[in-house]
Amino acid sequence: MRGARVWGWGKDLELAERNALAYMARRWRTTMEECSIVVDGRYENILFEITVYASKPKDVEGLINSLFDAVLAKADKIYSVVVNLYDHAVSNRISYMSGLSFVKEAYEKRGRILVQKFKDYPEVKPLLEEGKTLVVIPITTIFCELESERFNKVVIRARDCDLEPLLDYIHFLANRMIESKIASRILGYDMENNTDELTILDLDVEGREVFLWLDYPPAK
Amino acid sequence: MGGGTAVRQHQRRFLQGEPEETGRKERCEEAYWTVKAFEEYKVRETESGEYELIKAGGGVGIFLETRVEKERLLFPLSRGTLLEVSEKGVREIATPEKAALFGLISSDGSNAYYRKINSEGRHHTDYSTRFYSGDRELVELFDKVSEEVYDITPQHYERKDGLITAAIYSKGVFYDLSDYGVKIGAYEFRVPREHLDDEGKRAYLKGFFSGDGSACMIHGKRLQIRFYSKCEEGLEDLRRTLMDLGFHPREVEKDERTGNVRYYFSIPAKEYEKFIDEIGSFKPRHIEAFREYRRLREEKNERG
Repeated sequence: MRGARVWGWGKDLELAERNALAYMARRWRTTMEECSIVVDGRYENILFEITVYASKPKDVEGLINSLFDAVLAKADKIYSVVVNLYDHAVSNRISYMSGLSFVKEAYEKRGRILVQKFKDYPEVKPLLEEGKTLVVIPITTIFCELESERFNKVVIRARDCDLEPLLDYIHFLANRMIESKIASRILGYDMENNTDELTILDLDVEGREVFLWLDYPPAK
Repeated sequence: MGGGTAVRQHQRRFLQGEPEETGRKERCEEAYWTVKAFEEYKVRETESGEYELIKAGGGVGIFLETRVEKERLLFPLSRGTLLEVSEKGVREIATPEKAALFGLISSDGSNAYYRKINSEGRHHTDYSTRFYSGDRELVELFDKVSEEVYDITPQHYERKDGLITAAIYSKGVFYDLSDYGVKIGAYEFRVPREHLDDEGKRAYLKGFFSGDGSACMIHGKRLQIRFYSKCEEGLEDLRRTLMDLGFHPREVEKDERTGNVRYYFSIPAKEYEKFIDEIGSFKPRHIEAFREYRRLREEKNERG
């Protein structure tokens, strides 16, 4: 695989499409089987990524401008546009086909597991012994796969610690993809199960509740 | 006019001895009164109402106005800059307006030049300083501070999706911002802490947070305050700036998938009130979240 960031926030938006096509024209080899355009951004505290897979560079002409139009209606920022070129088709190895109810159940179940995991931590236990209730607020990553008539596959990945706004935003993005004919329908969802990796980011006591903010360990 | 010392000139012209004391020197001494003195620096006000900054007996500059504070003196310079004189010495600092402009550009703006070849084959350089936002209020703020600091009104371009670009095309503005290292690349920024006093730091953070911060109610009842960036060094600078102001920000977290890396850090819950009071935000959605947070707290307090 080879890839490059072809645009970043602060550059003219029109440059993204031009740079992507120029990069692919130069780097694409006849032996390659797939390419992808990745747009990543943020809306409030939701970090998102939209990946569109296509069989050849010609298929993605006009795509980036459509993605910008679709996303910028409700995004604080688009950080970058990345182009990836693959020697093998990779999109058929990616599959997020669970139902929405499965994801909601998995979220609830993970919450219960995390309460069990953290209730005996030294910073938490004394507070619970006072009769307080533990509420975990874990970072959550949701994937949504979309079918497309023009492209091989469209995947939305979004991350936040509140499931309902996260799903609302994914549905907003998915609908915008469908309206702009980038995708045709939602195929399914999945949730990243990360109970082992999560650590305590912040502890906040209010009234009879102990709120535990959980995230991945710090970057360093 | 004429050569030699004043005494010899007097002798030659008027065939007299040493000239009488004119009293000029004495009047000069009387014409000043010392406003404030710090170690080797002294500030004197002249009879004409100007302020003279003196270092170890030698003049540094004369200023039309000054602001006297308990531990420092401030002299306005051009382009939203102040000369601060204190026990620590002398430094140039940004006004709160300029510091807010730094913050806005560091988060959602750009400061760049583009070299082009014109139709005659000659190189031509375009300088531009831009701010991008879907929030009209933030664009209006960018316009206001640009006018205050640089006396320039930015040009606007609006896309159909609502994104507004406010642009300044000025070589002078580009170099002024470059000198402070405000935006050194597409994502790279540094906080010019050495050119910010506490008020400037708060204004910078407020400007930055309005662009690359988030304030959201989680589960409808818990506020979350975060700073985001693709520039890890810049985020560390922001943390240090917050620490200068007595905050205890969390460590930098990383979100990395499919080759895209984004960093963020949070403000601890116990410092939300301090953050809202001292930093705050210009962004309407943030202000709404802060209001909701306080409303819920008051409700809870009333319930006991």
